[in-house]
Amino acid sequence: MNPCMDLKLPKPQVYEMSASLMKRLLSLVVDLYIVFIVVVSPFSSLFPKEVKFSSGLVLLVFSISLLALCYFSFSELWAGQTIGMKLMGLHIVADTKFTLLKSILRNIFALPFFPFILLWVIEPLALLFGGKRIMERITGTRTVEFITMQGSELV
Amino acid sequence: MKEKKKKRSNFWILLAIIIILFAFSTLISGCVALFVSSPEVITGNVAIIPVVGPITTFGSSGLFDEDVVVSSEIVRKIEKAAETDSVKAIVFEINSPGGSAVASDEIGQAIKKLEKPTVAWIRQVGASGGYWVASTCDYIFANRMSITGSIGVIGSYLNFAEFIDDYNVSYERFVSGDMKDFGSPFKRVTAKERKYWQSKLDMIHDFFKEEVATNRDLTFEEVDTLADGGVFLGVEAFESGLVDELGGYDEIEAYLEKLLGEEVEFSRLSTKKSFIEKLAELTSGNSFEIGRGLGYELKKDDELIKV
Repeated sequence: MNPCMDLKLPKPQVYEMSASLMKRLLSLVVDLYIVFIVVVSPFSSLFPKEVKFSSGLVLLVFSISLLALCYFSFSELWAGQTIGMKLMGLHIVADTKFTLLKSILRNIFALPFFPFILLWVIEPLALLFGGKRIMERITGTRTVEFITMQGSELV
Repeated sequence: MKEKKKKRSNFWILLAIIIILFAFSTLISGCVALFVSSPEVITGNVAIIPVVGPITTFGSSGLFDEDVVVSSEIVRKIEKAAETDSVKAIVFEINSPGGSAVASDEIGQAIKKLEKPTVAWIRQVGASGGYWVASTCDYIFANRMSITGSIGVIGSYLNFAEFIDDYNVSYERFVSGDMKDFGSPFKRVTAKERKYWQSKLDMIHDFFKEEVATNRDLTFEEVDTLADGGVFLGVEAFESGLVDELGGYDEIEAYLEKLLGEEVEFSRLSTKKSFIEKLAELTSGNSFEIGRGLGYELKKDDELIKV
């Protein structure tokens, strides 16, 4: 029997707040590690010892980045979070319907080609100084963490 | 309760994504392998590095172009064999009429740096630059009928000066530096230019002779008597001291087994081109060849000096 029911305490409230920078960074690190194990390692025997620009290398990089994009996009679309985000307790919240296109746009930084590669510089700056990523503003989505508080913790 | 159910379903969704992604990655990597050259794997204790074709510092492409030996590629293979601990000796399988002096020297210098036993195996032809490379090895095998030697330098080219005269085409000379347009096929060769060019060829010839003398433990004078540019059959080269032993695969195997004191397993290092690279060679190279005209053909040969 739930003691709270006897005492008629206020039910726990769930509050949404913007994900902290540190948690976002840690979740990205975890996701990149997962991408490395799941996506990059099957290709490891194909990597040339000397890195020389060639069409084969471009194809290799493109294939890997496309699969990485799939990981981020489909995880966020179907589960609302990637594995890294799940570990950090982060979620994706959309103002309108969250579609596959929005999910792909959110994660287009995974493609290491111009102009998307510029996002590796632009997005951290936008987060630092604006509190939100550029692609999050464009897609109308947010990365949040949910805080559960008991009624007695409210001031 | 709802929350817990949602968390559990999220977990399974993420797990499914990971599994599907891994399966796709494995499948796609197999497809991408068609487009990427396979890295070489050395399995035996003796590496065989083929030196087959004209020796050059640059590669060729196209279906109808012959295979060439690119010196940087050979040096890379030599370094790979040197780094591989399981490789105890290296055999250079030579079937080359020669080529670029620079490229031959690049390969020769890389062989000399090796701290493992090296054997040259001259097959049908190991002449000129091909012999330069062979001479840097510790031991040379050749078939009795192999064509070897040709210790000389060639820098000849076709001159079209009289040809263009016949068609009222003129060569308008604008140079700063009297020798700047030396080698142009559209102007007559002057006596000064002839002497100039011959001196360069003689210099390279001396380098070649010095290399052979040092590598084969002969005197410069002994090599000089052999270095008229003429070829020797394997048996003649053996008698002259240019080759150590007459024989082939079995003899090399026996020699190495005695030298290394263990059973020999050969492992061939050849560049495996991917399917797409072979297809690209077939199409792009030939498209270019069809498009180029006589003028380019005349200037094609960047390797003006050959050994």
